[in-house]
Parts: sequence; structure tokens; C-alpha cells
Amino acid sequence: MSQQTVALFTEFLVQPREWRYGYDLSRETALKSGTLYPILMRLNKRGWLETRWTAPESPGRPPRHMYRLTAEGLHSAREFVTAKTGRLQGRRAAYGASRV
Amino acid sequence: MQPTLARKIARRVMALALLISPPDSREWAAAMAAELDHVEGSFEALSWSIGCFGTALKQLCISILSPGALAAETEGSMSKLAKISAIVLLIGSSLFLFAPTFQQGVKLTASSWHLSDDAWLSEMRKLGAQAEASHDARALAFVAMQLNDGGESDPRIGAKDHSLRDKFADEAVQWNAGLTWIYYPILSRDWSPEARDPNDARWSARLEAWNPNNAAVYAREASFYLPRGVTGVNPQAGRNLLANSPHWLDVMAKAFSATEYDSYVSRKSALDLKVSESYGIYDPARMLRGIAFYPIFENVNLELYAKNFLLKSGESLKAKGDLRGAKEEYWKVSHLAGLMQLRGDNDTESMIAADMQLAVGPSLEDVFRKSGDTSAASLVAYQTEMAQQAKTRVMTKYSPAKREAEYRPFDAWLVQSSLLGMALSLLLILCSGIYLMAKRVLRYQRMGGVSRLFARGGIVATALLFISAVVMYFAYSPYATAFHVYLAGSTPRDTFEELAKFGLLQSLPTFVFEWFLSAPFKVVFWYTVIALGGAIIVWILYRQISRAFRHSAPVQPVA
Repeated sequence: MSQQTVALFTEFLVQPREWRYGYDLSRETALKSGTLYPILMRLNKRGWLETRWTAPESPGRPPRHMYRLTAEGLHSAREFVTAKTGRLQGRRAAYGASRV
Repeated sequence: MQPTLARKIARRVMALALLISPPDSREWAAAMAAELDHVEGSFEALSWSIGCFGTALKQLCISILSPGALAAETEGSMSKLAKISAIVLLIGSSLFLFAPTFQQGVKLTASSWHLSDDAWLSEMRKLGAQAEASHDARALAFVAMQLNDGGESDPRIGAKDHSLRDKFADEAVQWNAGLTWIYYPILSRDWSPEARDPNDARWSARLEAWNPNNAAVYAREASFYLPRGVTGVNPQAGRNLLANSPHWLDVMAKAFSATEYDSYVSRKSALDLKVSESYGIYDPARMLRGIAFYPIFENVNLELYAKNFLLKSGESLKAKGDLRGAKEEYWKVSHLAGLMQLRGDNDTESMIAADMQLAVGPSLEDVFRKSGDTSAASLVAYQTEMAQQAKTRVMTKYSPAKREAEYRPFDAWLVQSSLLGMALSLLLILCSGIYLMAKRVLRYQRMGGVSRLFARGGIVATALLFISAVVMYFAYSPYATAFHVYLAGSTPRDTFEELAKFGLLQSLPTFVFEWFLSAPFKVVFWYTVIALGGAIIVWILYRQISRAFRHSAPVQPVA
């Protein structure tokens, strides 16, 4: 799993049941549109991401696409993020030990 | 609020992204487009739309290259796409091998990386043996001259090959007497009396017997009889030295009385071309050297004889009122200058002839006028004017700006760089191929950092290979045209102009190699080592410090 995907999972896990806009996700994760959307497409194909269209906020604007992790997606995201965090903590411990 | 130019462009780009999106992913393109109005900042919007366009383009490529892949897309699909792209690029690069321009470019550029003459001389020895077996006198003559040219660049090699050169030259002339002229360039290799070839007397006699009225043959021979130090003493002492050199005076008198002039440059150029075509041996830079450094003779002989004897004698006779006698003496110089200008094939001959005509022209014109022959005087004035123009033309031709335009340094660098690029990418592809093959044989499935490096390196190398092949094809194209003109060339001047274009292209590796060995390079090299070492230390320190900061940062909360 790429670092960018893990970053996106982490962002979804902040408010797991909330629907999120693509631009908001991009801003929060600092992922460019060319990186973010291919990941969203992949997650959607795997069945880890659900999507829906919302009505435009003002007349004349197009409807917006929103995203949220499915139950399976949430489970996987937690696993990946925990594994990543565990690795980081392990490295930090090793780093701290080596400094002693 | 009026949209900015960047935002307008962003909308256009987004519209294009929607247009190229395949049906499977059109909904996603619409989703990306819907966000554009919410992106803050014009340039951010532009960046957003470019990213979306890239995503749409990627989806389009996947749908074209692998129909149905979108439906089954997983994280590994990009690697599949990359593999397909690599195969397409490899096939694309291989197609260039069928283009004659590309083949010629690679062959000639690669041959210029032989930094010594050994490979060429070895090829020449083989060709000599082959020509001997088939009684091909022309090829033997070609080989004899090439072994001689090799000797020019490295006296040790020349000395080693002299026996073979002599054998081939004699056999060539024995089988075809019309090739006797080859003794001329072979014997002209070195003009110093100490380096006089052991065959000189025998071959000179044969040359003189074969072409007794050729001034060039005598002018060449005179170099060996020229008294030592004649140019380093005062004019009178020099003249005395020359006056006491009967052999020199004899051959110079023959040279100035000759009715023909031929230094055989045309014959050599035509023979080079003919044999190269027959045996498929193409080395333009070598052929160029053969013409550019063609040994004519030491021109100081002509100058010394004309100035110290003919012109002086003419002045003396004119002073005594013997205009007829003076005219004859002057005419000898003008006549030889005219012959050289007319029959000479290269710029050196043109310059020597022009100088001689300019030296004698005014005196000869004066004598004709005093004799009442105004037509002849006008003709001499015209010849002198022509000589001045010929000299100016040659000097202009060798101006640095004109030379640079002819040598095409940028094209030469491009061609050489593309060859290096191809070699490097092929090596990388080979290494990646071997590594991935070994991995598959050993059933080692884990995709670690090294595996990823090799896989990505191999894919990038195919792109580099393709780009290098394209650059080679287009950058070499002007040279291919020049080479075509050379092969169809009729005069040595034409062929020289075309061959000159290969001068820098084929001598670049030698220049670079010599620069690497030069003292300034050594200094630059050690400074680079120090700078690189410093940069590596700074990078390691930076990594350590940034790691320390990262580990101190709080871990993100997990829901």
C-alpha cells in the first residue's frame, strides 16, 4: 500500500462516517488531483469506498461527488494505518534505544 | 467576478479531460470537473485541472492498451501498463534498426570510439590479404596507402607495417601500372632527409619514368636535397648554399620546366571511394584525413628556387635589357603557378600557386608591356587578379565561423550523446532483465526496494532507448545526406567539403579522451570528488537531523 493511500485512509479515519468532497480530501492530505483520484477510483473498484452525488449548493453549479469508506474499507484502512503507525513507533523505539 | 486567464485555461483543460475520458471513467471525470469551481486560487485551479487531465489520459491509455482492464483495475494495473509501454517502446526502438540512416549513424559513430588505429590497421591487413588472393590491385593500393596513413599518426605502427605496405604497393603497381602514382603519397610521408624511405630511389625512378613531365614529382624529390639550415641564414648565404647543391638545382629546374602538374589527390580520392564502396568499408573521418593531410611537397622549395634564381635572374636580364630572356625566366614561375592553380586539387596547392603568381605577376606584366605585347600584359594582369581572388576565397573559407557551421558541433554532440544513451539504456535493460529473470527462476516473489528499482529502471531504460534512437535518427540525418553526396561526388573539392562535416563528429571521442587525460581535467576531477564527498556528508547529516525531528513528532490519531 502506497504512502499516499495510507495518508488518504488516515484522513478518512478522522471522521469515518462523514461524507467528504474530493477537493477537501486533496487539501487535507496535500495530494494533487492526479494522485488522489486514481486512488479513489481504485478504492471504489475494490468496494472500499462508496460514492454519491449531492445537489448543487447554488443554482448553475454542477452536482458534487462525495466519498466515504465502506465498512470493509474502514476495516482495511484501520489495519493499514495501525500497521504503518506500529512500524513508525517501532522505528522510534529502535532509534531511541540506539541513542541510549 | 471575472474569471482569470489561468482559471479560463483550467476550464478548457478540464473540458478536454472530459472529452478524452473513456466511458468507464466518465463519471469520475465529471466528479473532478465539479470540484474545479470550489478550488481556491487560479493557479491551484490550473494545477487541479492538469492533474485531472493526466488522470483522464491515463484511463484512456489503459482502455486502449488493455480493453477491460479498467473494470478489473487493481493497484497492480499501472505495472501492467508500464510493462506494455516498455514492450511498445522496445519494439519502436527496434524498428529503427531497419532504417539505413540509423544503421549508418550507429556504425560510424561507434567506429569513432576506437581510440587507436590498431583496429583499423588490423582490418586493413585482412583486406590486403583478401585483395592479394583475388588479385585486386586497387584494393592493394588502397591498403598500402592506409597502412602508410596509419604510420603518419603513429610512427611506431608505421615502422612496424612498412614491409607489408611495400609489398602491397609493389604488387598493386605490378598488376596495374596505372597505379604507379601511389608511390607519390607513400613517399611523401616524411620530407626530412633522415626519414627518407629506403624505397625512395627505386620508387622515384619509377614515378619519373611513368610521368616524366609532372612538376609535382620533382618538387617532392627536391625536399631531400634541400641543404640544411638554408632558411635560417641570411638571404645571400642561403642562396650560396642552394647554388652549391647540384641535385637540388637539377630537380628544381625539372620542376619549373615540366609541362604537367598532378599531385594525384583526385586519383587517391577516387580510389578511396571506389574501394570503400566495393568492400563496404566506410570511415568518412579517415577518408577526410587522407585528403586533408595529403602530402603534396614542401612548398618552400618552389619559393626558394623562384625567388633566388628565376626572379633574380629575370631582374638581372631585364636590367641588362634582355627582355626576352627575362620573360622566359618569369614565365617559368607563372607557368607553374598556372598549372598548379588549374590542376591542383586542394586548397594548399591553390594558395602556393596564388603566392607564386602574385610574386611574379607584376614583373612579367612589366616585361610584356616594355616588349610592346599589351595583350599578353593584360592577360598576366588578369591572371594575377585571379590569383588574388583565389587566395582570398581560400582564406575566407577557413574563417572560424564558417568552419563551425560546417562542423556542426551541436549535431555532433547530439549524435554521440544518443549513442551513449542507447548503450546505457541497453545495459540497464539487460541488467533488469537478468535480475527479474533470476527472481522468477528462484521463485522469489517479494517486491522489495531493489526489485522495484530494477523494474522501474528497466522501464525507464526502454523510454531512454527510444528517445536516444529518435535523436540518433534525426541528428544523424544531415550527415547521411552529406555522406550520400560524398559517395556521388565527382571532384575531391566536393568530397572534401562533405567529408569535412564528419570531422568533428568522428573525432569527438578522441577530443574528450584527450581532455580527460589533460592536466586541467585532473584538477576538475579532484575538485568534483571533494564536492561530491561534501554533498554526501551534508545529505547524511540532513537525513539524520530530519529523522530525529520526525520521530519526535506525535503520531496521528487513529479512529
